[in-house]
Amino acid sequence: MKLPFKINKEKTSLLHRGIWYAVGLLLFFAPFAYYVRGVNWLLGTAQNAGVHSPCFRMPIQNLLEGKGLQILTVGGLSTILLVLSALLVGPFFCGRLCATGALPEYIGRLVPDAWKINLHQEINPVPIRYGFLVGFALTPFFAGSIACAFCNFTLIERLTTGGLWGDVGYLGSTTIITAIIWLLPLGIFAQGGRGFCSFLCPVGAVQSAIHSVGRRLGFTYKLKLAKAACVSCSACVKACPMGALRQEHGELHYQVHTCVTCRHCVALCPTKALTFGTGAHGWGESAPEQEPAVQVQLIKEKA
Amino acid sequence: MTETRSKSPAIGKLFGSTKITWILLFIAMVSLTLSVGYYKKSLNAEGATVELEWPKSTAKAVVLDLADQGVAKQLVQPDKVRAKISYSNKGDNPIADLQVQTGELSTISQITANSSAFDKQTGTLNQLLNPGNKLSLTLSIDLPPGASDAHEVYAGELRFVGTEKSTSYGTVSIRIINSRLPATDPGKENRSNQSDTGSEHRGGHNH
Repeated sequence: MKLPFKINKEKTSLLHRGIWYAVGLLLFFAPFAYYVRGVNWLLGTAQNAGVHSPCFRMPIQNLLEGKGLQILTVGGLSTILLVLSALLVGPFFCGRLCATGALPEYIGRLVPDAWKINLHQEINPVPIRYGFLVGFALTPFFAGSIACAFCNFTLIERLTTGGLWGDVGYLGSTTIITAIIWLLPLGIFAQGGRGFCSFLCPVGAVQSAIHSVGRRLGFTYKLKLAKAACVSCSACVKACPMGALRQEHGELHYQVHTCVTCRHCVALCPTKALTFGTGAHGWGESAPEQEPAVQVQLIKEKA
Repeated sequence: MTETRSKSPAIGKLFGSTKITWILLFIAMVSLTLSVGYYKKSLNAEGATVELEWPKSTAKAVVLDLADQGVAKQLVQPDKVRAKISYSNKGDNPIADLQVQTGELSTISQITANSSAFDKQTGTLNQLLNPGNKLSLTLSIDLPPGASDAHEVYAGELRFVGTEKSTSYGTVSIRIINSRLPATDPGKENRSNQSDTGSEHRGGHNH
């Protein structure tokens, strides 16, 4: 189904999201890291201004290792903010602020689809994603922490500082392997460009797990479907960089455990069947909604 | 993107049941992640980690062997090595004006810290290191071209000093070797291994 207005909407959504990711880059990543600088100023601490300080991976491991959580630190406050935001608005960090996830997605848009592998079609990311999270949490007890060794967050810092000052810093074997996986097979050559987010990001997995619970509460924000308004055009399915949506037997299926709530699908939905807001999520429910149905009629008439 | 995107994942009902497939994939991924942890552990000697505790242990020696580098490191960036140094104040008094001097390594090395109060240009910590606190440092060394073509690649020392009172707060001697190449003078190597300043770490855990 050809939608003449899709291109403009897509570009607008990409630009809108891109601005958010640029803000994320300025907030969390060296050499800017204004969020860390701000928290340092508030707490009177002097933690390093880079993505290392608000890192969510290390607090997870500290908790699991019984070291507890130091709340009045950049890491402690960030962990609390991340958990709260995931509960109230879904994986907001992933969908709006994580420049690391966005970079391969945006570069990948320049690569022809014919060169890409549709990983989400080949393999269900959910057990892989949570399997990695559990493995990640268990490694300190067996082989030592892999929190930093396979971190893709620092890679974008390296690219930024390398771009600005020509020095990407020390690269260990595991960092090099992570960079290759993040940017190439799970990046620009993966459909949607977010293979690393879908399969290997423990930060995203924790947020998704929290969001899967939070979305059941009425007052939280979530991706909502008005079934009556859906015309099965698959625009959302094609737009989703995480492969969280699929069309099967004329019905739209949603995988909350991989959705990063980037709302790209919402922006591209021609009938506003998909929205992001509070209330019941509508997936698996059959309550018709009158207002969007009228819009569907209008679109059909136009066609 | 094609219509195929809208179908269920191909490896969805591989073993007849979606649940069984899900569980098997989950277990496989947990196992793979643990294996990756062991792989990372096997590469620990790529870098080195040293812990100094003032005033208990203030002298350590590190040997970094370029032969311990993983394949990826050897292919992409073999001439940049790293040592992580953790400096803890276990004494009763705060340490003021702590400076890390890289000495003969200064032209080829860069030192960074986990604290924004650390000036990496001068190597000075611009705040007190209070009792119980720790300063985590990363020393990155860029080996000059051709330096790794010999058994003895480089040797240097990191000195922790108090700039005002010229107090020594510890030293870490760093020796870089390439064991793939034979030592030209075995006697010399043996002598240099007999460190009288403290324990010697060969490679080690990298965070």
